[in-house]
Amino acid sequence: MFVSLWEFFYGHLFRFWMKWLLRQMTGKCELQRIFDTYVGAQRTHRIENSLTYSKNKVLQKATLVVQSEVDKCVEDIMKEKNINPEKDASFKICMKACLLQISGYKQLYLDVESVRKKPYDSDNMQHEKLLLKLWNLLMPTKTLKARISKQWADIGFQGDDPKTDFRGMGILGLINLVYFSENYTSEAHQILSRSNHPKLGYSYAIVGINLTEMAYSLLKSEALKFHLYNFVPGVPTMEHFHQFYCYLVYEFDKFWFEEKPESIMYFNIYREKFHEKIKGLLLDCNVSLTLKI
Amino acid sequence: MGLLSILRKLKSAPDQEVRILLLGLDNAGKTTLLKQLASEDISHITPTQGFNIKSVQSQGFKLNVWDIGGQRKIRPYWRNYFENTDILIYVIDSADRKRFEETGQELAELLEEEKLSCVPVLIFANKQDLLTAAPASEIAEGLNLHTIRDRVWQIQSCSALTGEGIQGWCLFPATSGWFPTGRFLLTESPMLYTEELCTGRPASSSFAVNLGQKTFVSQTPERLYPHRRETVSALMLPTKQLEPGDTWSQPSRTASLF
Repeated sequence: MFVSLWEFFYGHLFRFWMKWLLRQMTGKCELQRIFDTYVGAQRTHRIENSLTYSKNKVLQKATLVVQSEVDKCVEDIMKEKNINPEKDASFKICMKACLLQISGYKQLYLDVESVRKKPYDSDNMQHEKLLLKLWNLLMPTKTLKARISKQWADIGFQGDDPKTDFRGMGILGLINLVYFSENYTSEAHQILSRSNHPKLGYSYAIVGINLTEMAYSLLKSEALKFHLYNFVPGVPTMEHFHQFYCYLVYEFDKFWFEEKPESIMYFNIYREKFHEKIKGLLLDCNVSLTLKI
Repeated sequence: MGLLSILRKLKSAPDQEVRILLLGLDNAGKTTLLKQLASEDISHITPTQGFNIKSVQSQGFKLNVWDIGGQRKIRPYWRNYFENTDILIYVIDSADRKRFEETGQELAELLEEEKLSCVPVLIFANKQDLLTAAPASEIAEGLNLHTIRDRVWQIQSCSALTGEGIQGWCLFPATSGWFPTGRFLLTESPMLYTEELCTGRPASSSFAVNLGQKTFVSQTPERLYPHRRETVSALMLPTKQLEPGDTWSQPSRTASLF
Protein backbone atom coordinates (compact mmCIF):
# COMPACT_ATOMS: atom_id res chain seq x y z
CA MET A 1 0.00 0.00 0.00
CA PHE A 2 2.61 2.54 1.10
CA VAL A 3 4.96 1.21 -1.50
CA SER A 4 2.48 1.73 -4.31
CA LEU A 5 1.57 5.15 -2.96
CA TRP A 6 5.24 6.09 -2.88
CA GLU A 7 5.72 4.74 -6.37
CA PHE A 8 2.81 6.79 -7.60
CA PHE A 9 4.06 10.03 -6.09
CA TYR A 10 7.61 9.32 -7.07
CA GLY A 11 6.65 8.54 -10.66
CA HIS A 12 4.37 11.50 -11.05
CA LEU A 13 5.82 14.28 -8.95
CA PHE A 14 9.06 13.72 -7.10
CA ARG A 15 10.89 12.19 -10.01
CA PHE A 16 10.26 15.28 -12.10
CA TRP A 17 11.32 17.74 -9.40
CA MET A 18 14.34 15.66 -8.38
CA LYS A 19 15.49 15.60 -11.96
CA TRP A 20 14.94 19.33 -12.29
CA LEU A 21 16.85 20.01 -9.10
CA LEU A 22 19.74 17.78 -10.03
CA ARG A 23 19.84 19.29 -13.48
CA GLN A 24 20.19 22.78 -11.97
CA MET A 25 22.87 21.61 -9.58
CA THR A 26 25.00 19.57 -11.94
CA GLY A 27 24.18 21.20 -15.23
CA LYS A 28 23.65 17.75 -16.67
CA CYS A 29 20.58 15.85 -17.73
CA GLU A 30 19.63 12.52 -16.23
CA LEU A 31 21.14 10.57 -19.14
CA GLN A 32 24.49 12.29 -18.68
CA ARG A 33 24.42 11.67 -14.96
CA ILE A 34 23.83 7.98 -15.56
CA PHE A 35 26.80 7.81 -17.90
CA ASP A 36 28.94 9.51 -15.28
CA THR A 37 27.93 7.18 -12.49
CA TYR A 38 27.29 3.73 -13.89
CA VAL A 39 28.91 1.20 -16.15
CA GLY A 40 27.94 -2.11 -17.69
CA ALA A 41 24.45 -3.52 -17.51
CA GLN A 42 23.43 -1.11 -14.78
CA ARG A 43 24.16 1.83 -17.06
CA THR A 44 22.20 0.41 -19.98
CA HIS A 45 19.37 -0.63 -17.71
CA ARG A 46 19.11 2.83 -16.13
CA ILE A 47 19.30 4.53 -19.49
CA GLU A 48 16.53 2.25 -20.71
CA ASN A 49 14.32 3.13 -17.75
CA SER A 50 15.05 6.81 -18.08
CA LEU A 51 14.09 6.73 -21.74
CA THR A 52 11.01 4.58 -21.22
CA TYR A 53 9.58 6.81 -18.49
CA SER A 54 10.48 10.04 -20.23
CA LYS A 55 7.65 12.37 -21.15
CA ASN A 56 9.55 13.40 -24.23
CA LYS A 57 8.36 11.51 -27.33
CA VAL A 58 11.81 11.39 -28.95
CA LEU A 59 13.32 9.79 -25.87
CA GLN A 60 10.42 7.43 -25.38
CA LYS A 61 10.68 6.11 -28.91
CA ALA A 62 14.44 5.71 -28.69
CA THR A 63 14.14 2.30 -27.02
CA LEU A 64 12.30 0.99 -30.06
CA VAL A 65 14.73 2.33 -32.66
CA VAL A 66 15.91 -0.01 -35.42
CA GLN A 67 19.61 -0.63 -35.67
CA SER A 68 20.11 1.38 -38.87
CA GLU A 69 18.62 4.49 -37.32
CA VAL A 70 20.52 4.49 -34.05
CA ASP A 71 22.93 7.22 -35.20
CA LYS A 72 20.12 9.54 -36.16
CA CYS A 73 18.30 8.77 -32.95
CA VAL A 74 21.36 9.72 -30.86
CA GLU A 75 21.56 13.04 -32.74
CA ASP A 76 17.88 13.68 -32.05
CA ILE A 77 18.30 12.98 -28.36
CA MET A 78 21.26 15.34 -28.17
CA LYS A 79 19.25 18.01 -29.87
CA GLU A 80 16.29 17.50 -27.54
CA LYS A 81 18.49 17.58 -24.46
CA ASN A 82 20.73 20.39 -25.65
CA ILE A 83 23.86 18.36 -25.24
CA ASN A 84 26.92 19.99 -26.63
CA PRO A 85 29.11 17.36 -28.38
CA GLU A 86 32.22 19.44 -27.68
CA LYS A 87 31.53 19.70 -23.98
CA ASP A 88 30.48 16.08 -23.53
CA ALA A 89 32.31 14.11 -26.20
CA SER A 90 31.62 10.71 -24.75
CA PHE A 91 27.83 11.11 -24.68
CA LYS A 92 27.39 10.22 -28.32
CA ILE A 93 29.45 7.05 -28.06
CA CYS A 94 27.88 5.90 -24.81
CA MET A 95 24.36 6.64 -25.98
CA LYS A 96 24.91 4.76 -29.18
CA ALA A 97 26.27 1.72 -27.36
CA CYS A 98 23.29 1.72 -25.00
CA LEU A 99 20.74 2.09 -27.75
CA LEU A 100 22.33 -0.74 -29.71
CA GLN A 101 22.04 -2.96 -26.66
CA ILE A 102 18.51 -1.92 -25.79
CA SER A 103 17.04 -2.19 -29.26
CA GLY A 104 19.24 -5.21 -29.95
CA TYR A 105 17.69 -7.14 -27.07
CA LYS A 106 14.21 -6.47 -28.41
CA GLN A 107 15.27 -7.50 -31.90
CA LEU A 108 16.94 -10.63 -30.59
CA TYR A 109 13.70 -11.71 -28.99
CA LEU A 110 11.86 -11.21 -32.27
CA ASP A 111 14.52 -13.19 -34.14
CA VAL A 112 14.46 -16.06 -31.67
CA GLU A 113 10.68 -16.06 -31.68
CA SER A 114 10.52 -16.30 -35.45
CA VAL A 115 12.87 -19.30 -35.45
CA ARG A 116 10.91 -20.93 -32.64
CA LYS A 117 7.68 -20.50 -34.55
CA LYS A 118 9.01 -22.53 -37.48
CA PRO A 119 7.97 -26.09 -36.81
CA TYR A 120 10.30 -28.91 -37.69
CA ASP A 121 9.34 -29.97 -41.21
CA SER A 122 10.54 -33.31 -42.56
CA ASP A 123 9.89 -32.13 -46.13
CA ASN A 124 12.40 -29.34 -45.65
CA MET A 125 15.81 -30.57 -46.76
CA GLN A 126 17.61 -28.08 -44.54
CA HIS A 127 15.81 -29.33 -41.47
CA GLU A 128 16.54 -32.94 -42.37
CA LYS A 129 20.19 -32.16 -42.99
CA LEU A 130 20.47 -30.44 -39.66
CA LEU A 131 18.93 -33.42 -37.90
CA LEU A 132 21.38 -35.82 -39.51
CA LYS A 133 24.18 -33.43 -38.66
CA LEU A 134 23.17 -33.69 -35.02
CA TRP A 135 23.40 -37.46 -35.22
CA ASN A 136 26.82 -37.35 -36.85
CA LEU A 137 28.14 -34.87 -34.33
CA LEU A 138 26.96 -36.86 -31.36
CA MET A 139 27.54 -40.34 -32.77
CA PRO A 140 30.58 -40.00 -35.02
CA THR A 141 31.37 -43.70 -34.89
CA LYS A 142 27.86 -45.07 -35.39
CA THR A 143 25.94 -44.78 -38.62
CA LEU A 144 22.25 -44.14 -38.52
CA LYS A 145 20.65 -47.14 -40.19
CA ALA A 146 17.47 -45.39 -41.28
CA ARG A 147 15.92 -41.97 -41.00
CA ILE A 148 13.13 -43.51 -38.91
CA SER A 149 14.88 -45.66 -36.42
CA LYS A 150 14.92 -46.73 -32.80
CA GLN A 151 18.52 -45.48 -32.74
CA TRP A 152 17.28 -41.93 -32.14
CA ALA A 153 16.57 -42.97 -28.59
CA ASP A 154 20.34 -43.37 -28.15
CA ILE A 155 20.75 -39.61 -28.24
CA GLY A 156 17.67 -39.04 -26.14
CA PHE A 157 14.74 -38.59 -28.47
CA GLN A 158 11.48 -40.18 -27.42
CA GLY A 159 10.58 -42.38 -30.35
CA ASP A 160 11.60 -43.47 -33.83
CA ASP A 161 11.23 -40.07 -35.40
CA PRO A 162 12.61 -36.99 -33.65
CA LYS A 163 10.37 -34.65 -35.65
CA THR A 164 7.57 -34.94 -33.09
CA ASP A 165 9.83 -33.98 -30.20
CA PHE A 166 10.52 -30.37 -31.13
CA ARG A 167 6.95 -29.30 -30.41
CA GLY A 168 6.58 -25.73 -29.26
CA MET A 169 10.28 -24.97 -29.68
CA GLY A 170 10.21 -25.73 -33.39
CA ILE A 171 13.45 -25.63 -35.32
CA LEU A 172 15.02 -23.51 -32.55
CA GLY A 173 15.32 -26.64 -30.41
CA LEU A 174 17.26 -28.45 -33.10
CA ILE A 175 19.49 -25.48 -33.91
CA ASN A 176 20.38 -25.22 -30.22
CA LEU A 177 21.21 -28.92 -29.98
CA VAL A 178 23.40 -28.75 -33.08
CA TYR A 179 25.12 -25.56 -31.91
CA PHE A 180 26.17 -27.12 -28.63
CA SER A 181 27.35 -30.35 -30.26
CA GLU A 182 29.28 -28.45 -32.89
CA ASN A 183 30.95 -25.85 -30.70
CA TYR A 184 31.47 -27.91 -27.58
CA THR A 185 31.81 -31.32 -29.13
CA SER A 186 33.78 -33.01 -26.41
CA GLU A 187 31.50 -31.59 -23.69
CA ALA A 188 28.48 -32.77 -25.67
CA HIS A 189 29.93 -36.28 -25.88
CA GLN A 190 30.71 -36.25 -22.21
CA ILE A 191 27.23 -35.08 -21.25
CA LEU A 192 25.59 -37.55 -23.62
CA SER A 193 27.48 -40.42 -22.09
CA ARG A 194 26.65 -39.21 -18.58
CA SER A 195 22.98 -38.96 -19.59
CA ASN A 196 23.05 -42.72 -20.19
CA HIS A 197 23.84 -43.32 -16.54
CA PRO A 198 21.75 -46.34 -15.47
CA LYS A 199 20.29 -44.66 -12.41
CA LEU A 200 20.66 -40.91 -12.85
CA GLY A 201 20.31 -40.90 -16.62
CA TYR A 202 17.99 -38.61 -18.59
CA SER A 203 16.99 -38.22 -22.22
CA TYR A 204 19.70 -36.01 -23.65
CA ALA A 205 17.85 -34.53 -26.64
CA ILE A 206 14.52 -33.85 -25.01
CA VAL A 207 16.14 -32.38 -21.94
CA GLY A 208 18.02 -30.16 -24.41
CA ILE A 209 14.71 -29.09 -25.92
CA ASN A 210 13.39 -28.35 -22.44
CA LEU A 211 16.42 -26.14 -21.84
CA THR A 212 15.77 -24.32 -25.10
CA GLU A 213 12.40 -23.51 -23.61
CA MET A 214 14.09 -22.24 -20.48
CA ALA A 215 16.49 -20.01 -22.41
CA TYR A 216 13.64 -18.78 -24.56
CA SER A 217 11.33 -17.96 -21.67
CA LEU A 218 14.13 -16.15 -19.80
CA LEU A 219 14.79 -14.06 -22.89
CA LYS A 220 11.09 -13.38 -23.33
CA SER A 221 10.58 -12.33 -19.72
CA GLU A 222 13.54 -9.93 -20.08
CA ALA A 223 15.40 -11.80 -17.35
CA LEU A 224 18.42 -12.02 -19.67
CA LYS A 225 18.88 -8.26 -19.85
CA PHE A 226 21.62 -7.86 -17.25
CA HIS A 227 23.46 -10.85 -18.62
CA LEU A 228 23.35 -9.73 -22.24
CA TYR A 229 24.07 -6.08 -21.46
CA ASN A 230 27.20 -7.17 -19.60
CA PHE A 231 28.20 -9.91 -21.96
CA VAL A 232 27.70 -8.16 -25.30
CA PRO A 233 29.01 -4.60 -25.75
CA GLY A 234 27.02 -4.01 -28.94
CA VAL A 235 24.05 -5.71 -30.54
CA PRO A 236 23.26 -9.13 -29.06
CA THR A 237 22.69 -11.75 -31.74
CA MET A 238 21.41 -15.31 -32.12
CA GLU A 239 24.94 -16.44 -31.44
CA HIS A 240 24.71 -15.02 -27.94
CA PHE A 241 21.42 -16.73 -27.37
CA HIS A 242 22.97 -20.06 -28.39
CA GLN A 243 25.89 -19.37 -26.08
CA PHE A 244 23.53 -18.89 -23.20
CA TYR A 245 21.79 -22.14 -24.11
CA CYS A 246 25.16 -23.93 -24.01
CA TYR A 247 25.73 -22.52 -20.56
CA LEU A 248 22.37 -23.91 -19.42
CA VAL A 249 23.03 -27.38 -20.85
CA TYR A 250 26.43 -27.63 -19.25
CA GLU A 251 25.29 -26.27 -15.91
CA PHE A 252 22.11 -28.32 -15.84
CA ASP A 253 24.03 -31.54 -16.29
CA LYS A 254 26.31 -30.58 -13.44
CA PHE A 255 23.36 -29.60 -11.28
CA TRP A 256 21.51 -32.85 -12.03
CA PHE A 257 24.39 -35.06 -11.00
CA GLU A 258 25.06 -33.00 -7.90
CA GLU A 259 21.43 -33.24 -6.83
CA LYS A 260 21.20 -36.97 -7.57
CA PRO A 261 17.43 -37.20 -8.12
CA GLU A 262 15.70 -40.46 -7.31
CA SER A 263 14.62 -41.03 -10.86
CA ILE A 264 13.96 -39.30 -14.12
CA MET A 265 10.32 -38.96 -13.08
CA TYR A 266 11.38 -36.05 -10.87
CA PHE A 267 12.83 -34.15 -13.78
CA ASN A 268 10.37 -31.26 -13.65
CA ILE A 269 10.96 -30.65 -9.97
CA TYR A 270 14.70 -30.34 -10.52
CA ARG A 271 14.20 -28.41 -13.71
CA GLU A 272 12.21 -25.86 -11.71
CA LYS A 273 14.85 -25.78 -8.98
CA PHE A 274 17.52 -25.15 -11.58
CA HIS A 275 15.35 -22.51 -13.22
CA GLU A 276 15.01 -20.68 -9.89
CA LYS A 277 18.74 -20.86 -9.37
CA ILE A 278 19.44 -19.33 -12.77
CA LYS A 279 16.80 -16.65 -12.26
CA GLY A 280 18.51 -15.78 -9.00
CA LEU A 281 21.88 -15.42 -10.68
CA LEU A 282 20.37 -13.25 -13.40
CA LEU A 283 19.10 -10.73 -10.85
CA ASP A 284 22.63 -9.57 -10.13
CA CYS A 285 23.38 -6.53 -12.25
CA ASN A 286 27.00 -7.65 -12.71
CA VAL A 287 26.00 -11.08 -13.97
CA SER A 288 27.56 -12.60 -17.04
CA LEU A 289 26.88 -16.28 -17.48
CA THR A 290 29.33 -17.96 -19.76
CA LEU A 291 30.31 -21.54 -20.17
CA LYS A 292 33.65 -21.94 -18.52
CA ILE A 293 35.44 -25.19 -19.21
CA MET B 1 -13.86 -20.42 -15.08
CA GLY B 2 -11.69 -23.30 -16.06
CA LEU B 3 -12.48 -26.00 -18.47
CA LEU B 4 -14.20 -28.16 -15.98
CA SER B 5 -17.18 -27.04 -14.10
CA ILE B 6 -19.16 -28.68 -11.50
CA LEU B 7 -22.83 -28.47 -11.07
CA ARG B 8 -23.21 -29.18 -7.44
CA LYS B 9 -21.12 -29.11 -4.42
CA LEU B 10 -20.73 -32.32 -2.62
CA LYS B 11 -22.47 -31.79 0.67
CA SER B 12 -20.47 -34.06 2.88
CA ALA B 13 -16.96 -33.29 1.65
CA PRO B 14 -16.65 -29.74 0.42
CA ASP B 15 -13.13 -29.96 -0.89
CA GLN B 16 -12.98 -33.44 -2.20
CA GLU B 17 -9.93 -34.30 -4.18
CA VAL B 18 -10.24 -36.09 -7.45
CA ARG B 19 -7.22 -37.77 -8.87
CA ILE B 20 -7.16 -37.79 -12.64
CA LEU B 21 -4.44 -39.65 -14.49
CA LEU B 22 -3.51 -38.65 -18.03
CA LEU B 23 -1.75 -41.37 -19.99
CA GLY B 24 -0.98 -42.14 -23.61
CA LEU B 25 1.96 -42.49 -25.98
CA ASP B 26 4.48 -39.70 -26.43
CA ASN B 27 3.21 -36.90 -28.65
CA ALA B 28 -0.42 -37.85 -28.00
CA GLY B 29 -1.16 -34.39 -26.60
CA LYS B 30 -1.40 -35.02 -22.86
CA THR B 31 0.46 -31.91 -21.78
CA THR B 32 -1.51 -29.74 -24.19
CA LEU B 33 -4.68 -31.16 -22.71
CA LEU B 34 -3.41 -30.51 -19.19
CA LYS B 35 -2.52 -26.92 -20.01
CA GLN B 36 -5.89 -26.37 -21.64
CA LEU B 37 -7.51 -27.72 -18.53
CA ALA B 38 -5.63 -25.20 -16.43
CA SER B 39 -6.28 -22.43 -19.00
CA GLU B 40 -2.57 -21.98 -19.66
CA ASP B 41 -0.67 -21.02 -22.77
CA ILE B 42 -0.10 -24.05 -24.99
CA SER B 43 2.35 -22.61 -27.50
CA HIS B 44 5.62 -23.44 -25.73
CA ILE B 45 5.12 -27.08 -24.89
CA THR B 46 8.13 -29.38 -24.78
CA PRO B 47 8.30 -33.17 -24.44
CA THR B 48 7.49 -34.25 -20.90
CA GLN B 49 10.40 -35.75 -19.11
CA GLY B 50 8.89 -37.26 -15.98
CA PHE B 51 5.49 -35.81 -15.19
CA ASN B 52 3.52 -32.62 -14.80
CA ILE B 53 0.85 -32.07 -12.23
CA LYS B 54 -1.76 -29.37 -12.05
CA SER B 55 -4.40 -28.82 -9.45
CA VAL B 56 -7.51 -27.15 -10.66
CA GLN B 57 -9.94 -25.84 -8.09
CA SER B 58 -13.43 -26.10 -9.25
CA GLN B 59 -16.45 -25.45 -7.07
CA GLY B 60 -15.63 -27.54 -4.10
CA PHE B 61 -13.51 -30.01 -5.97
CA LYS B 62 -9.80 -30.13 -6.22
CA LEU B 63 -8.86 -31.87 -9.40
CA ASN B 64 -5.34 -33.18 -9.27
CA VAL B 65 -4.41 -33.95 -12.81
CA TRP B 66 -1.29 -36.02 -13.36
CA ASP B 67 0.24 -35.91 -16.82
CA ILE B 68 2.86 -38.62 -17.14
CA GLY B 69 5.37 -38.65 -19.99
CA GLY B 70 4.55 -41.19 -22.68
CA GLN B 71 8.00 -42.01 -23.96
CA ARG B 72 8.62 -45.76 -24.11
CA LYS B 73 11.54 -45.45 -21.75
CA ILE B 74 9.44 -44.08 -18.93
CA ARG B 75 6.26 -46.12 -19.44
CA PRO B 76 7.43 -48.62 -16.80
CA TYR B 77 7.04 -45.78 -14.29
CA TRP B 78 3.35 -45.33 -15.09
CA ARG B 79 2.38 -47.90 -12.51
CA ASN B 80 3.81 -45.73 -9.74
CA TYR B 81 0.93 -43.34 -10.34
CA PHE B 82 -2.00 -45.79 -10.45
CA GLU B 83 -2.88 -45.77 -6.79
CA ASN B 84 -6.14 -44.06 -5.88
CA THR B 85 -6.84 -42.92 -9.39
CA ASP B 86 -10.43 -41.80 -9.79
CA ILE B 87 -10.49 -41.24 -13.50
CA LEU B 88 -8.15 -42.40 -16.21
CA ILE B 89 -7.92 -40.23 -19.27
CA TYR B 90 -6.19 -41.98 -22.13
CA VAL B 91 -5.09 -39.74 -24.97
CA ILE B 92 -4.58 -40.98 -28.52
CA ASP B 93 -3.05 -39.14 -31.46
CA SER B 94 -5.75 -39.92 -34.01
CA ALA B 95 -3.46 -39.03 -36.89
CA ASP B 96 -0.65 -41.35 -35.89
CA ARG B 97 -2.10 -44.46 -37.53
CA LYS B 98 1.21 -46.24 -37.52
CA ARG B 99 1.09 -46.43 -33.77
CA PHE B 100 -2.56 -47.38 -33.26
CA GLU B 101 -1.49 -50.88 -32.48
CA GLU B 102 1.07 -49.72 -29.94
CA THR B 103 -1.37 -47.38 -28.25
CA GLY B 104 -4.03 -50.10 -28.20
CA GLN B 105 -1.64 -52.46 -26.54
CA GLU B 106 -0.70 -49.94 -23.88
CA LEU B 107 -4.35 -49.23 -23.18
CA ALA B 108 -5.18 -52.92 -22.97
CA GLU B 109 -2.40 -53.39 -20.47
CA LEU B 110 -3.67 -50.49 -18.40
CA LEU B 111 -7.14 -51.97 -18.30
CA GLU B 112 -5.68 -55.18 -16.96
CA GLU B 113 -3.99 -53.42 -14.08
CA GLU B 114 -5.44 -54.35 -10.77
CA LYS B 115 -4.87 -50.92 -9.27
CA LEU B 116 -6.89 -49.41 -12.09
CA SER B 117 -9.70 -51.95 -11.95
CA CYS B 118 -13.11 -50.34 -12.26
CA VAL B 119 -11.59 -46.91 -12.76
CA PRO B 120 -13.69 -45.14 -15.36
CA VAL B 121 -11.75 -44.44 -18.51
CA LEU B 122 -12.26 -41.54 -20.83
CA ILE B 123 -10.48 -41.90 -24.15
CA PHE B 124 -9.68 -38.76 -26.07
CA ALA B 125 -9.29 -39.28 -29.81
CA ASN B 126 -7.12 -36.21 -30.02
CA LYS B 127 -5.81 -34.11 -32.93
CA GLN B 128 -9.08 -34.07 -34.82
CA ASP B 129 -7.91 -30.73 -36.23
CA LEU B 130 -5.56 -32.67 -38.51
CA LEU B 131 -6.95 -33.77 -41.86
CA THR B 132 -5.45 -37.22 -41.50
CA ALA B 133 -7.07 -37.89 -38.13
CA ALA B 134 -9.08 -41.07 -37.82
CA PRO B 135 -12.60 -40.58 -36.49
CA ALA B 136 -13.31 -41.67 -32.95
CA SER B 137 -15.61 -44.43 -34.15
CA GLU B 138 -12.82 -46.00 -36.18
CA ILE B 139 -10.47 -45.86 -33.21
CA ALA B 140 -13.10 -47.32 -30.90
CA GLU B 141 -13.53 -50.20 -33.29
CA GLY B 142 -9.82 -50.69 -33.81
CA LEU B 143 -9.21 -50.82 -30.08
CA ASN B 144 -12.19 -53.09 -29.47
CA LEU B 145 -13.49 -50.68 -26.91
CA HIS B 146 -16.93 -52.26 -27.01
CA THR B 147 -15.48 -55.30 -25.30
CA ILE B 148 -14.76 -53.28 -22.17
CA ARG B 149 -17.27 -54.60 -19.68
CA ASP B 150 -15.69 -53.98 -16.35
CA ARG B 151 -15.87 -50.24 -16.15
CA VAL B 152 -17.53 -47.15 -17.45
CA TRP B 153 -15.80 -45.90 -20.55
CA GLN B 154 -16.29 -43.22 -23.09
CA ILE B 155 -14.50 -42.13 -26.22
CA GLN B 156 -14.58 -38.52 -27.31
CA SER B 157 -13.06 -36.93 -30.37
CA CYS B 158 -11.29 -33.72 -29.57
CA SER B 159 -8.56 -31.31 -30.44
CA ALA B 160 -6.55 -30.27 -27.42
CA LEU B 161 -4.99 -27.61 -29.64
CA THR B 162 -8.23 -25.83 -30.45
CA GLY B 163 -10.03 -26.92 -27.32
CA GLU B 164 -12.79 -28.53 -29.30
CA GLY B 165 -14.34 -31.57 -27.72
CA ILE B 166 -12.73 -31.01 -24.36
CA GLN B 167 -14.82 -28.04 -23.48
CA GLY B 168 -18.16 -28.48 -21.89
CA TRP B 169 -17.11 -31.50 -19.95
CA CYS B 170 -18.44 -31.58 -16.51
CA LEU B 171 -17.62 -33.33 -13.40
CA PHE B 172 -20.63 -34.67 -11.66
CA PRO B 173 -20.38 -35.65 -8.06
CA ALA B 174 -21.95 -39.00 -7.59
CA THR B 175 -23.61 -38.17 -4.35
CA SER B 176 -25.16 -34.92 -5.37
CA GLY B 177 -28.73 -34.51 -6.33
CA TRP B 178 -30.23 -35.94 -9.36
CA PHE B 179 -30.52 -34.00 -12.61
CA PRO B 180 -29.90 -30.71 -10.90
CA THR B 181 -30.47 -28.45 -13.87
CA GLY B 182 -31.79 -30.67 -16.53
CA ARG B 183 -28.36 -31.80 -17.60
CA PHE B 184 -27.71 -35.41 -17.14
CA LEU B 185 -25.39 -37.03 -14.78
CA LEU B 186 -23.91 -40.42 -14.97
CA THR B 187 -21.54 -41.81 -12.49
CA GLU B 188 -20.39 -45.24 -11.66
CA SER B 189 -22.79 -47.09 -9.44
CA PRO B 190 -25.54 -44.56 -9.96
CA MET B 191 -26.04 -46.17 -13.34
CA LEU B 192 -27.95 -48.65 -11.37
CA TYR B 193 -30.18 -45.97 -10.06
CA THR B 194 -30.44 -44.40 -13.42
CA GLU B 195 -32.37 -47.28 -14.71
CA GLU B 196 -34.34 -47.69 -11.58
CA LEU B 197 -35.34 -44.09 -11.47
CA CYS B 198 -36.09 -43.76 -15.09
CA THR B 199 -37.97 -46.90 -15.74
CA GLY B 200 -39.45 -47.56 -12.38
CA ARG B 201 -38.30 -51.13 -12.67
CA PRO B 202 -35.68 -52.57 -10.39
CA ALA B 203 -32.28 -52.34 -11.96
CA SER B 204 -31.32 -55.35 -13.94
CA SER B 205 -27.88 -56.83 -13.73
CA SER B 206 -26.99 -55.94 -17.26
CA PHE B 207 -28.34 -52.99 -19.08
CA ALA B 208 -27.72 -50.21 -21.46
CA VAL B 209 -28.98 -46.73 -21.00
CA ASN B 210 -29.45 -44.46 -23.87
CA LEU B 211 -28.79 -40.83 -23.20
CA GLY B 212 -29.59 -38.90 -26.28
CA GLN B 213 -27.13 -40.12 -28.84
CA LYS B 214 -24.78 -41.80 -26.46
CA THR B 215 -25.14 -45.30 -25.23
CA PHE B 216 -23.48 -46.42 -22.08
CA VAL B 217 -23.19 -50.09 -21.53
CA SER B 218 -22.33 -51.74 -18.34
CA GLN B 219 -22.85 -55.07 -16.73
CA THR B 220 -23.66 -55.77 -13.15
CA PRO B 221 -22.75 -52.33 -11.94
CA GLU B 222 -23.84 -53.12 -8.41
CA ARG B 223 -21.11 -55.68 -8.24
CA LEU B 224 -18.52 -53.52 -9.86
CA TYR B 225 -18.11 -50.64 -7.56
CA PRO B 226 -19.03 -51.45 -3.98
CA HIS B 227 -15.50 -51.02 -2.70
CA ARG B 228 -15.12 -47.71 -4.40
CA ARG B 229 -18.31 -46.10 -3.27
CA GLU B 230 -16.62 -43.78 -0.88
CA THR B 231 -13.60 -42.82 -2.88
CA VAL B 232 -14.95 -42.60 -6.36
CA SER B 233 -16.90 -39.51 -6.76
CA ALA B 234 -17.16 -38.66 -10.32
CA LEU B 235 -16.96 -39.43 -13.95
CA MET B 236 -16.60 -36.84 -16.58
CA LEU B 237 -19.19 -36.66 -19.23
CA PRO B 238 -20.15 -34.07 -21.78
CA THR B 239 -22.97 -31.90 -20.68
CA LYS B 240 -26.06 -32.25 -22.68
CA GLN B 241 -29.44 -30.77 -22.25
CA LEU B 242 -32.06 -33.43 -22.16
CA GLU B 243 -34.27 -33.03 -25.15
CA PRO B 244 -37.96 -33.67 -25.03
CA GLY B 245 -38.55 -37.04 -26.54
CA ASP B 246 -35.39 -38.55 -25.13
CA THR B 247 -35.92 -42.14 -24.23
CA TRP B 248 -36.32 -41.42 -20.60
CA SER B 249 -37.99 -38.81 -18.55
CA GLN B 250 -36.77 -36.62 -15.81
CA PRO B 251 -37.11 -38.37 -12.49
CA SER B 252 -39.49 -36.86 -10.07
CA ARG B 253 -37.49 -37.44 -6.95
CA THR B 254 -33.99 -36.81 -5.88
CA ALA B 255 -32.03 -39.88 -5.30
CA SER B 256 -29.98 -40.32 -2.27
CA LEU B 257 -27.49 -42.49 -3.92
CA PHE B 258 -25.48 -44.09 -1.23
